[in-house]
Amino acid sequence: MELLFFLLFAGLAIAGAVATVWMRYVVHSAFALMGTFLGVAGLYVLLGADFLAITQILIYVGGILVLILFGIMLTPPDRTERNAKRVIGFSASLVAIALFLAVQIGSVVRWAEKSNLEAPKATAAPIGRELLRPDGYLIPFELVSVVLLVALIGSVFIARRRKAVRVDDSSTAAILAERGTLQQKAGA
Amino acid sequence: MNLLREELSWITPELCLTLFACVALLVDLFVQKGRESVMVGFFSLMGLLATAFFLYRQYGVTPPAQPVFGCMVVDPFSTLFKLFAVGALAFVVLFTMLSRQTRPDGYGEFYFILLCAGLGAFFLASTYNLLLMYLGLELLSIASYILAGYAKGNRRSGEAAMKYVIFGAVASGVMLYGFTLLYGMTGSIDLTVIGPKLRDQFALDHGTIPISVATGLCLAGFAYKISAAPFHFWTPDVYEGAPTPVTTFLAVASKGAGFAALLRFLQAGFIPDRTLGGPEAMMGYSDKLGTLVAVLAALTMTLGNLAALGQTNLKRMLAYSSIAHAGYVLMGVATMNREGFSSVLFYLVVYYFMNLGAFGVVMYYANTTGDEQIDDLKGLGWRSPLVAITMVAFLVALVGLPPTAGFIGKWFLFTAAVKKGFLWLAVVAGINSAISLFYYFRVARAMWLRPEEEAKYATVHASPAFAALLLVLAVGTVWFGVGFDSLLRYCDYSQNLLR
Repeated sequence: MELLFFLLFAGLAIAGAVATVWMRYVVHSAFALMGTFLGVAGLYVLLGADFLAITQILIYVGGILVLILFGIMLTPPDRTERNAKRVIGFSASLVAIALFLAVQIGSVVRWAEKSNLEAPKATAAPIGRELLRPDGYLIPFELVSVVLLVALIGSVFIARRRKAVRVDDSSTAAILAERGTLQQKAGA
Repeated sequence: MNLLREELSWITPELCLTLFACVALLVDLFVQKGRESVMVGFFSLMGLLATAFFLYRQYGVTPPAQPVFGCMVVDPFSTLFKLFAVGALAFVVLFTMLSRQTRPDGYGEFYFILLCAGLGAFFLASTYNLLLMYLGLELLSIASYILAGYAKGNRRSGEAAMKYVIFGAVASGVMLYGFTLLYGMTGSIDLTVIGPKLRDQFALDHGTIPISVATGLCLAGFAYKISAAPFHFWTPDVYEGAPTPVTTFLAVASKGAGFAALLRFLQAGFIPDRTLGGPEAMMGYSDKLGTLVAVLAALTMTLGNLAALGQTNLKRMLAYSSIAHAGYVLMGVATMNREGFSSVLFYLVVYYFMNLGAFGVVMYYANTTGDEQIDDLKGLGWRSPLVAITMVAFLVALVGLPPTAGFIGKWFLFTAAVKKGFLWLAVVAGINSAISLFYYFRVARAMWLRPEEEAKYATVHASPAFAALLLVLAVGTVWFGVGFDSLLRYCDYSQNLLR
């Protein structure tokens, strides 16, 4: 039963990824990506990481994918460019697959086993406690908030409409004016 | 509770920097219009000063035996790099205050993001935890993307930011893939645990392909951060397009932090403890990794120097020169031993002085003239001798000629490489230094060997403060070429306490 679901979700994830690379239209690619996200979320459930699975769906499907769709909607389509990217995407995925196979087949990998890993803390409460435990993930957790703050302020700054005076022009104009006076001085 | 307080006391520099970054952001709201640059800059400088004070207090104190909060390492190595970052930030803030090139409407945001980038460099330099290392890298990168595009309305700046984001995202992704493979093999994200686990893997003798793939992917991420070939393509465009104070930050602090993380990564994970005696396979792998880095070093310096030859834009030339210098520094990394790593630290400090200075001169010049072309420097030597003389000091140091610190720094790198048996690498680096003479000399020639009449500008207006800054950097560049003992001792000391 578990194997069946594993195959289902893994297949969904891989098929979605392949479709994302191969679809002709960007919108189709974006929807295919949803398959990948859902497939991966399913795999998380099978691994007993229910919190991670929910977050995956909430953030990737609910947030990032919607953002991507908005991005596509707001940019004019350019089909010629798409054709070029298809080749790049294909070769990139080939490289990724080759690397993975090299790791898997090239030798017998001793992946870390369940027995020597920490027991999975699969529900939200232990994860929350771990995030705020001083010896746990407190520092990374706090640092993430700084990263997000920087990203937030930066994106607001970049997206903000410029004020009436164009910054660069004014400084260039000042420089040019000064240059004029300088040359006059030199002439005198 | 006391334990928590003690742990908190170890991270006061980081707390202080974060606090003042937020102060800078808020002060901007209350300052009267037109005075933001000075006021916010002043608060940022105060913050940096306080941070430097806390860092200085940590210097010489016995570092805590266990990582603070389970993931932060406070040792002389990280303190050196943090001081390095704070110093670079202070100069960048001063440059920004005196520069006219960055005149955006948001000074508070600018300084906030700049200080946060410094915070990223802090974390990058002081952890063995892959998660924290990645977060530090990401904080530094995201802040850098925004800073590179800060001159809104300037096409080149926008292009620089865009290229930087795309390259950066791919590099981060590749590096994360490498991290996940390491995690999969060892079940830990702590490099101090990963190292011994990898030793066990080597002892089992299953071949090195999985480890090679993982290491290669991680190295790609680091190579991007330090702009080493073949991941250097973003460098010239970003350095040229970004506002010059930001370029200075990227060339100095960001690169330094990248090297700090790379050294820690290699030291903890891949250098067998010779006294304990690792398995044979690991010794061999460590040497092979060293050879790979050596090849990268040769490639990086050659590409950088050859491309720099044809440049006419001063900032672009310095960008290629900084790629070449990453190659020289990698030479010390390739030795994979303490002596080499110590020479890397020494060279980075020297690099910091000469590059801050060279970019400072560019900014100083562009401030009044709006030009960044090498040919436009014609006659500068006769019109503004002080600035031109400091520039010559920086150029001589960049070539690596005595009596400047550039010579001593290169000397240590070369000896470390030769001792390790990389004679060919030292020869390549020697040839490269000779090539670099040509393009550095072109700048000096433009400044001094053209008659005064050809000068394009009557005089370059010197704000005394700016000239004083340049003078300080020039004196540092020459001073460390003569009195380098104390610096060398500090670098050795920092290096020896690295696990």
